[in-house]
Amino acid sequence: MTTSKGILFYDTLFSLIPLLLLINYGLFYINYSQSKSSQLLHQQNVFDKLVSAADYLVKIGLTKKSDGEIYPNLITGTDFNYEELASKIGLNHVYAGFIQKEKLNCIYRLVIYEDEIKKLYICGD
Amino acid sequence: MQTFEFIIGLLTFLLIAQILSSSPNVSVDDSLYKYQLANDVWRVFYLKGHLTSFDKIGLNSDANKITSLTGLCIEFEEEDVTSCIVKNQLITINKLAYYNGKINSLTIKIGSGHY
Repeated sequence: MTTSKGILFYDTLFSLIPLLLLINYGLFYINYSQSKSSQLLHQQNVFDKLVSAADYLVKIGLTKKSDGEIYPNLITGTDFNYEELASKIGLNHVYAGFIQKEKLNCIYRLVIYEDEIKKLYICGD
Repeated sequence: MQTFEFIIGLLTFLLIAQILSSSPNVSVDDSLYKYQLANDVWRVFYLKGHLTSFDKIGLNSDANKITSLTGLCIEFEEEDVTSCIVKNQLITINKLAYYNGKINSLTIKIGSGHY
């Protein structure tokens, strides 16, 4: 009787091991998956804001304005109130220039500056 | 008996682990950005004055300049304006231009390719 109870105990114990491993892995995966989704959502959010900022700068912000007319993609310089733009769109920093900034997310747009085709980098975080 | 159960349990665990770990790669959606970049190409050609009389030499020269800056190939389907052949298309846009006395529909392909 004792022997059969002992066998039953060890039998149950060893059957539980893969089940516990499964539950453990499942919980780990759910946590990892949520973390990854959250990260991707943040990346998409920052990217979308950068795209909006870039479009504004290239179409209006940095463009040549003459006699009430605006010339998209024809820029006169990169001087702009970037802090105000960043606060309005919900980014920490926004920068636009012809040199790519390291440690920031950057996209580029094509513009004409001083009669030359150039890449205008718009960076931010 | 318990060894048999253990083996079945382990196999089930490995099977489910494999299924769960083969999740698809999801990346940032940049379709709007690609569209804006493609329109930049067209806008730059317009600002350079090449579209008024459809100056192919000027268009090809600036297309090459854009390719050297960005690494992207630019190809006009209907006209002989190509910086390099597009192999992996990023985006295609359709534009209208007036030259040769009529309105012409142009298809511009942009992507990566062979130089």
